[in-house]
Amino acid sequence: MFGFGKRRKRSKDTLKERLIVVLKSDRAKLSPAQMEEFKRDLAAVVDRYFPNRDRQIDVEVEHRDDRVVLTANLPVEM
Amino acid sequence: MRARSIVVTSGKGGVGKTTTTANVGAALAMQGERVVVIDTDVGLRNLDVVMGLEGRVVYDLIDVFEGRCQLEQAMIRDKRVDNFFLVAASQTRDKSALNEGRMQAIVAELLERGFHRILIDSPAGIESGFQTAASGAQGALIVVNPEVSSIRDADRIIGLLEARGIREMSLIINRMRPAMVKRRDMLDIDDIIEVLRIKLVGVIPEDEEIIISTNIGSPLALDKGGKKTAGQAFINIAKRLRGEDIPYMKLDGGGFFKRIFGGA
Repeated sequence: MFGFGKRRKRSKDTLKERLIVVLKSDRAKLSPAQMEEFKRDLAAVVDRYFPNRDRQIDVEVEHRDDRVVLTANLPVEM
Repeated sequence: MRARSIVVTSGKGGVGKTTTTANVGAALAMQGERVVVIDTDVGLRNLDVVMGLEGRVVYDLIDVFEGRCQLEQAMIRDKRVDNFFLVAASQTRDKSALNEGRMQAIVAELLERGFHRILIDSPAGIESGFQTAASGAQGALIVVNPEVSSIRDADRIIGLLEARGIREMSLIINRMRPAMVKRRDMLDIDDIIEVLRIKLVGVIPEDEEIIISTNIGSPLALDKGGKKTAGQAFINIAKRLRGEDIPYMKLDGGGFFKRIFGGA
């Protein structure tokens, strides 16, 4: 995942992962815990229609101007 | 950058807003633009000392706001370069003296008088001082350091500027340490752009010369020799703001500074 070979994970990789999580939550104006709850609820709904869905779920909520933009990536298997 | 009035801001304090304002302003003036830099950090003014003009402040921004003087009386001319002016913040008043309407009126007056560029040095934080500074701006320079709190705060600031309708925003990464980037203990340029999702306009290396130039009150960008790496980085930022295509070189081991800041 981090480049080729057996390069061990360095501090900046950890920082980048942490930043991506915290900024998603900041932008959504949801706490990280609420964000996880939202993802769980969303997954439960999608599971009713796509039971074989991949578990991986990625959600972003952003406030842009006066609009709220929700982007969800929910890979499904047909 | 098409914007002629530009707020220099960061959210977090101590990342280099004031140094950036002084140096980018100086570099723009050296390149022939008529430039005014305005300090809006009321109660904690510093742009005057960073520029070495503290001995010449008679009237300040709040005096203009409250009608105690005309705008031109508060404009201190920098004698080291043509067409470069400072409007200092008030050191004795507090932020309650700030006023968005008056800020906008001052910027409009300066633009009407034919100044090419107004740089507004914002206070840290997201409160009224920042909001007043942003109210006068069409564009923004976001200054970050490659560390977690600065980047998180910058992301918040970007959201607030978007909410104000400011569309033109460019990123300046300050205090970059290539040796740490090389051993992957510091975010690299691409990481920061990817996370913040705004356009880059410059990278400033951590450089002792910045501290030395600030000690003596002489912005590096005024140094005609232009040999100092950080000074050259500020000059490059000014050129990019003016639309020149100054290439960025990829981080490449030990040659990083020479390649980014020397040749280019």
